Amino acid sequence: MIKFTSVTKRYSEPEPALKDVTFNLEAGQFSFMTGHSGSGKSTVLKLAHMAERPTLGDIFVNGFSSKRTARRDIWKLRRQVGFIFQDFRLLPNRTVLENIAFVLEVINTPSKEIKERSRILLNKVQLEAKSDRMIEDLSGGEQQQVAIGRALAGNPVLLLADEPTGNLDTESTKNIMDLFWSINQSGTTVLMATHDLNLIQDHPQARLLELHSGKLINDSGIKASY
Amino acid sequence: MEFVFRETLASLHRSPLLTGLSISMISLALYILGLFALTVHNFYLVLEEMEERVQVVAYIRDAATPEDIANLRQILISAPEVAEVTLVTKAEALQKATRELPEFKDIFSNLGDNPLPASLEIQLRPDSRTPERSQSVVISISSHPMVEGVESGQEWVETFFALSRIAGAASLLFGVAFSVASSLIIASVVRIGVLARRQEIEIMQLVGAKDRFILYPFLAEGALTGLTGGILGIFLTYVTARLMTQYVFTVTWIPASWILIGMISTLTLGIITSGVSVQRHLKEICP
Ligand SMILES: Nc1ncnc2c1ncn2[C@@H]1O[C@H](COP(=O)(O)OP(=O)(O)OP(=O)(O)O)[C@@H](O)[C@H]1O
Ligand SMILES: [Mg+2]
Repeated sequence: MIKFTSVTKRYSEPEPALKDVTFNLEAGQFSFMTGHSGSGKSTVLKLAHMAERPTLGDIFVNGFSSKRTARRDIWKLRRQVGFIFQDFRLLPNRTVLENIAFVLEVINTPSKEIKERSRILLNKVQLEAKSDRMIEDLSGGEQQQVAIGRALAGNPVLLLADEPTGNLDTESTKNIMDLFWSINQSGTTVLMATHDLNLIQDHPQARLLELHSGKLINDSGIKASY
Repeated sequence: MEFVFRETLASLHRSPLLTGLSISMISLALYILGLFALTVHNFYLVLEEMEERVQVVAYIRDAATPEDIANLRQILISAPEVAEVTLVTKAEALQKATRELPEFKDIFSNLGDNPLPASLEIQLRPDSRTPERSQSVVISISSHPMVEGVESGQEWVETFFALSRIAGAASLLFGVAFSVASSLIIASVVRIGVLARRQEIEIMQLVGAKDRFILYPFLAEGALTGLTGGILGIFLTYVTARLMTQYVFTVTWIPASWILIGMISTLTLGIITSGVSVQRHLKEICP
């Protein structure tokens, strides 16, 4: 589903954010990506979402090649991928419902279904009661829940989650993790960046990738395959 | 399609201040351009009227016979510069003088003999209303034995000619300057509008919207703001023209074709600028 081959990503600084990273996530896997702040977790996810292009190396995501996918075709990939941004990226001057409906609209959902599907999504992230609130009036945790709901709107085959529980309390975190596991059970590949070690310990069945200063220093999936 | 329409209206509704500001700026730009067009148009109308007054008058000796006059007339009409020749007889000259100078009415009627000469008023062709050409007509007849004198208004023709050339150059120069300024204002306003929604463009792109899907509402919005601003600007110009006519002097309204050109330009500019700046953001956000 996601295949990184010797990927190096250099931003404006001379020191690359990712150095020679190679891994392969099979479809249906649930993986955590961990590492210190600045170790390159978000960079891996952005590369997989083609919001950035690798400086060196090759990336394949659900059959889309980082080298051969033209800018104008990226939408095809994105409609199959749900992304939960570390900074949410919600439309601040719209309501919770509008933010969800917006994505459904973008992916051409028939207008009759939009309302009902938005309601189901909001129910999943336990935000039904606040569907008419403006995003800017929500707490950080609530905004994160909207972002999660939005990422699931298109029934993605791949979910890329960047610190999706960073702003949530224990109970909401548990609810979200249960949600992720259940969509994983139904076939969605999940790659989740987190530095919450408790969360990782609570889910030993997940694959664990660990980054350190841009290098992949640990991959439980490789051990398992030996 | 329904989405484009709804998004456009919603976004106009969501940021009323920015929309209002954009429309006011565009209408102001068009108002300035409209006032300029109004000035130029009216100035040219006056100039045209003045141009028609460029004529040469040949005064005829009292001794001239009708044949002499007919002969003189024939010479004039065959000249390439001449459009029309009108005979003003002695009696007509007196009549005209009495009519135009009523304060001398008594003097005219007390004169036993009519002292005014008959004359030929020579209208020049539009392309011959230049100092050189009117001078050549003067030369061709002033030596005729039956011509007492020729009044060519040479000074007037020269002044007029200089004036119309200055006016032409000035209106071209100012026209270009005003158009460029207005275009810049409209383009900046539209670009600011797009910039204010950069975040929205980015999010749409990140959740899988096609470029076209992102672009269309912006194009519609560019067109709508351009159109509204344009109509408002022209309306303001119209009101000004009416008020001028009522309180200062008669102002003739600009031709419909000018308005059409202005509106189409504004509309096109709005759409193109909107499209170009959205496209630029799209490329910047996602390489
Ligand atoms: N757009 C950018 N331009 C320049 N440098 C960047 C950019 N994005 C990230 N970096 C740098 O790349 C490195 C990795 O950043 P990244 O966001 O991937 O880290 P992270 O592991 O997600 O950190 P965190 O846990 O804080 O979210 C950092 O040193 C960061 O400063
Ligand atoms: Mg990060």
